[in-house]
Amino acid sequence: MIKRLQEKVGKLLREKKVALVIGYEMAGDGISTTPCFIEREDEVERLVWNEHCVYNLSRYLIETRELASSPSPKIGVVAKGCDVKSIIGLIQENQIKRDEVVIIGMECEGQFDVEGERQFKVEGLKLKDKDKDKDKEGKLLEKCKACEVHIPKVYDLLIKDDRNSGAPEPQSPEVNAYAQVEELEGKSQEERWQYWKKEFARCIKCYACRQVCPLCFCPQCIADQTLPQWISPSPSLKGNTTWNIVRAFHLAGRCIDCGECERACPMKIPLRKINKKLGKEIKEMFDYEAGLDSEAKPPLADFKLEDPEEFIR
Amino acid sequence: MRIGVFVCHCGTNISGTVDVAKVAEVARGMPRVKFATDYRYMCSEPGQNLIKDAVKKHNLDKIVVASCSPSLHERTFRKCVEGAGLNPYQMEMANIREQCSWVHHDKKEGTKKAIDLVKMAVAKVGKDVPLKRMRIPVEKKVLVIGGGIAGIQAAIDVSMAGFKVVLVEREPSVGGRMARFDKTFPTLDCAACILTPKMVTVAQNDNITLYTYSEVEEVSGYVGNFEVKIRKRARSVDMDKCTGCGICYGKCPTKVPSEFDMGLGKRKAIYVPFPQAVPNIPVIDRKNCIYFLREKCKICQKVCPPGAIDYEQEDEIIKEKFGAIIVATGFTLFDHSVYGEYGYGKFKDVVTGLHFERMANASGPTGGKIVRPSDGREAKDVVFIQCVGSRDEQKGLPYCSRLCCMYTAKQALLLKEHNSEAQAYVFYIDIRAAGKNYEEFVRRVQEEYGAVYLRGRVSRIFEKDDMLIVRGADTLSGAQIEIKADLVVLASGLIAQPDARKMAQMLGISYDKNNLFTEAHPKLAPVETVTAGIFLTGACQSPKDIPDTVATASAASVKAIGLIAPDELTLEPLVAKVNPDICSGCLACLQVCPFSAIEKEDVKDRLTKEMKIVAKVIESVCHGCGACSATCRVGAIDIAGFRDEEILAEVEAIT
Repeated sequence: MIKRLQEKVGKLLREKKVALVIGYEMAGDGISTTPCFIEREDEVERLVWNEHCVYNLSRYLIETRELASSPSPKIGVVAKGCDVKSIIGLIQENQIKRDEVVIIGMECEGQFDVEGERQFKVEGLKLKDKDKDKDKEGKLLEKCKACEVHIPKVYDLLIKDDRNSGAPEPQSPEVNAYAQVEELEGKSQEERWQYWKKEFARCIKCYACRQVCPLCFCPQCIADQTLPQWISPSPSLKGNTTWNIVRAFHLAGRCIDCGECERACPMKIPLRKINKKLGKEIKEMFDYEAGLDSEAKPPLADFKLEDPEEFIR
Repeated sequence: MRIGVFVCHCGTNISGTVDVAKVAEVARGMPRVKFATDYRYMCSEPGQNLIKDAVKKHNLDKIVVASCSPSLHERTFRKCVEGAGLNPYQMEMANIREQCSWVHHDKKEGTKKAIDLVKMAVAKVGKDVPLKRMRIPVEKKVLVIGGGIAGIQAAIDVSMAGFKVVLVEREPSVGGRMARFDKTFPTLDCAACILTPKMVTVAQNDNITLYTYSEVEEVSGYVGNFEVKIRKRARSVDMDKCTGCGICYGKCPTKVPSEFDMGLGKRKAIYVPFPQAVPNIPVIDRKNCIYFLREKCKICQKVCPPGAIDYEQEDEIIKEKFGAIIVATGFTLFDHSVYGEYGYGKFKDVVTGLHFERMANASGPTGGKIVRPSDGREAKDVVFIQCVGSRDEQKGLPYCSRLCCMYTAKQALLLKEHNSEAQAYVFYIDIRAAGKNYEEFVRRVQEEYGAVYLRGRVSRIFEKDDMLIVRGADTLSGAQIEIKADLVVLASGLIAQPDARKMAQMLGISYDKNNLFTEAHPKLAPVETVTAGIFLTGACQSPKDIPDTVATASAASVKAIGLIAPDELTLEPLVAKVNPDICSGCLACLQVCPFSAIEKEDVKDRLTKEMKIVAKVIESVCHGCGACSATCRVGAIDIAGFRDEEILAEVEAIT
């Protein structure tokens, strides 16, 4: 798979179809990966593909869009099924143009929890392929367990998994994607408030969640504005709660559940749960899921004549 | 900055629950306030002069008026401060009446709240910046939607003032409901005799362009500059060639029930709905025409002397610009089939008032005879039932349809005139005859024409030996009544057109729970809508009889003329503004804007010098509703006069 990825990328660069490819390379720890930017054909060997390619690289499309919009060729990006959803979101919200991006879609069986594996290595236990498969379910990221897009919905090139020569796996998982949300929903309002109070109390407002989010592209985040200062900068519960709720609200109907915010959070606040809760509400109320159609009207900016709410008509 | 605060007593409206002198006294101590006083009526001329004098004497540059709701007097006070040489948008109103004195009883608490409201207004006015009104050109042409008596009158009135009018009617002829009536109450003029001269005027007036068999399909733009798409449906008859000779519908072999005659008579597949139709040009009903069904026949084409029949004709889309729009789309009748007691609409001899009108009409399907639709026998005993649908919240409408009492009385009279042996029975809840000469008319029908009025409801109608048995109660005598009737006439309520809601959404005007279009103010702006430049007349707004309809048509015309008469319109500057530096270009605002007032713009970023997409407000289209501002995640959109900075100053003033 890696080989074919390198070949294809090499070809794209050689034929000047792209100016740059954003992909993954091995990190210094020998287990995890790190984003890399390949501009020359002779660099393609740096590219890797494994179960540790967790990062959503579409974020870098915003940073590099000037390159893409100049007369020179496009930007290539290595993207999993979930990452493609955020690319669709970016197209939908005019941040990038479809024809300025070459999507190198990866068939993905799920990504592993890097943190967990690092500890594994420290303990001196080397991973072997067969062990890997045995423990696969246990090490899969929460989001991957309920994945429905092992093969991206939209791509320009598709790199298929060597191991799956036949038809792709059925794409409807049995795992309930909203299990964690439903667990919280079962609790009383007071219990939920206590839960989030405890979680938000840890927030240090480093804004890593925002920096890593592919859809947090505002030129000046509302959290950084001082006139007026909407969000208190002090690390108080009030400011922390305001920030976390505003962040989640701004992603309502937009979040594609890549889980990057939660991964990046140094305080391990379960941000995916808030995002998923809003995603669930949007799905139930408006029958809409983010990241599926770049032509779709965002649910919060649309209205239908058959809306059951009398006041809106 | 020198702020002046003016506290109004509004007689005792405010001073009854608010210590206005105290409010003024406290205001004097507020930051930057250099002058504060109270007065009995600030909106009066002496009150306004007091403000103007204070501006001069104390060199004030910003004004707070603590009085009523800005929706009442904001304009007054803006003008007043403008007269004093200040920018009119440096004036804020603190609503200490509707939002304070009228809703509180405790004077101490009321005073406290009034002080807070003034505090907020002082804080806001401190942040206010001068704003300039916009001027836009006006299209000197009016669109009238609906060619009933309302639309006809409006079109004539506007044309008489020398302005161009386009009248759009979806039926093949103008005339609407009134053209179907026989006589009109209370003077018993023949409806056609007073209506047809107006219809002819519409056809002949050079200022009026008439599109019949046409519908308004799309409305965009804004006050003074509406852009409208009109679909002129294919008539299948060349309007320029047709002479209206009528040979075509004489020869047409297909007969279908006539809509104009409420199905009581027949018409042909090529037809004019009634003899006095304007224009007197037939249409082919393509759903029933043999040629369109089976590509055969073509008789009309063969017999037409000028060769006006055109089977290939297609719908035509006309695009025109208008300065103002008058909506005159009328009403339809309540469907009485929900009432089991009246036979669920299944009895042939239970008809509506409109059916009766067609039968009473000499040019109608029965030649002026009141007959039973079931067997054609002349009706002698006729029961009229009032309030069918109207005033029945359970199954029908909550409101009174307003004209049924009068037309029923008129029909009882006509029945007797058509057949001196006939007898009318009227079941009513109560008689509403509040109009000039209306009460006298109803009395005359009872006394001179012997109509029997029974106060009560009908509990059941059933068929027996080809007669209708009407059972009801006379609540005045307490007696149970049973009448053997030939015919039952239901005074079905007036309701909004089935597509009224769609029309309202297309025009961007509001409607109530009954789908009747809503006026801007029930008393002081009865023909205006909340959307500038769109006016209402006739029964699309609420049930109206002919005199009221004509009156509102003239009223709406004056409003429309007043709007398009000047060369330029002055618009409020309270519109949205995008800060392109922080706009992310996601264009959620564009999608959420109900007025299509936002467009995409490519600009060069001031910092990075690169091209980027941002949102841009078309100021003349913007209504300042704020939907965009609320949607914007970055907070890049502010509404002039309601900027975040101004609103937050208000909030901070009391926290």
